[in-house]
Amino acid sequence: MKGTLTFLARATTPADRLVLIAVWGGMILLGIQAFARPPGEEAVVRVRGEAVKRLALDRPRKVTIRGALGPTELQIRDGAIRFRHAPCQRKRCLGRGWLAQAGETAACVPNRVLVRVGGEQGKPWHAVSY
Amino acid sequence: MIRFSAPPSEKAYRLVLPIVALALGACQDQVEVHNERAFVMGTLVEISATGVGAEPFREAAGAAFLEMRSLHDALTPLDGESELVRFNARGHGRWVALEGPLTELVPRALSVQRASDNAFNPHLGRLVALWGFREPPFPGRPPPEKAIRGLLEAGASQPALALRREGSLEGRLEHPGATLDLGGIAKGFAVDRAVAALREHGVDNALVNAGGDMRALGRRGERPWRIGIRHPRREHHVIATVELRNGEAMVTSGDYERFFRAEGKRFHHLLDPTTGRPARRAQQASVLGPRATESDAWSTALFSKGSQGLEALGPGLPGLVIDTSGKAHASPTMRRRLHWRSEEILAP
Repeated sequence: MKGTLTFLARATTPADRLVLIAVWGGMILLGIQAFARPPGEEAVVRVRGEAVKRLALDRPRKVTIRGALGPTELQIRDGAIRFRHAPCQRKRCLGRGWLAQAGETAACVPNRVLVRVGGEQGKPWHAVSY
Repeated sequence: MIRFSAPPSEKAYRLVLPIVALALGACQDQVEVHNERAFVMGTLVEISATGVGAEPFREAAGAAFLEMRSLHDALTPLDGESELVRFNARGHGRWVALEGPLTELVPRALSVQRASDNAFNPHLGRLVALWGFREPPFPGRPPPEKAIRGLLEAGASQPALALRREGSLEGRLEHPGATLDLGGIAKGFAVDRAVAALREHGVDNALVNAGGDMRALGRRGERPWRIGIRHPRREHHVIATVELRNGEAMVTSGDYERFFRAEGKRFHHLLDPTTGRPARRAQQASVLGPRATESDAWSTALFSKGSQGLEALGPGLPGLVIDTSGKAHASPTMRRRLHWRSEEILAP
């Protein structure tokens, strides 16, 4: 690290360093913007791989899904969804917490229940004909 | 003040250039999309565009909305001053000059009526009014059988509009049961006019979406505009997607838009011209085409005919029908265009 800094100090002028700082700073900002996930709009619940429910995240409620072991309770609040109760032993799904961003996923593997949040960015269409 | 002993060296440029190239590559997929929305023609119209500045786009969208509003004023059956109402008031049994947009739209409507063997009928005005589907709230029960029969006997559903050119274009309603009602084609026509207005204002990449009737111009950045087709029984679900080519339109007609339930049945606004009652061969029909006007009229005709109507569309108008049992049927050209998503409705 120290060697690299010494090399950079010798190999570049102050103007070079200013340009490098500006470019790298811009890159970091771009990266943050590119990887920030948009808020989710709905969650798709799958049991044994099959989509069983699509839940809009715009109103608070609790939904019970029947999985391989028994009922799993999901809670929706403030545009987010989480596992609230599950019949599995380790309760790892409950520890996953709230999912609110498009693309976020949580699963209760023993109960074969998977929840994935989808949103505008995740949709493969720009408008719906109806 | 910072003083530099030398300008940035070649080494620095060598370090920076790949980074800039990478950044530009990463930005390729980020498309700036402008959106404008307005309530026009009894529905929410959304215009989206790319590759144009915010201000020119706002101006273009404003012109498009203005055009659509003026069409609404001319074609609404609810305003006594509209060109359509004026024609209906005078056009029974005598030749009356068509005015404004009627001069272009009526011949196109009659052309689809003929080609669809009257499955699309642009003069069901009295029947539509009898059923009460013009404006919500819709009635909770169907009209008396006697009233429906009376209108059918008065020629409500038969081809009843004649045209001639005597200097100007003139029309004549030949049966007392028929009045012009362009509800099955006017929205598509307005979408086409909106697209023309956008083009005139230099917008080459846009999507006009008038309550689900849409037409695309160009592309959305590097990719085509992609349209989802809704599930006929699940409002927020999409059964398939289609990529629209430059200038292409997609219109869907469904029994879920304007309806009421009575006697355990769904009564919707898409009337079958042969029966004077809601058509019972489909839940939904979608048509792709080079213009929204004809796609709109054909989607109504296809809904009325059900899957049997797919053949009449021809290869230039790909069609998709979800029949009353929820089964999907599509013309070969539509099958090639669909990206099927639904697990509940099997791909055609």
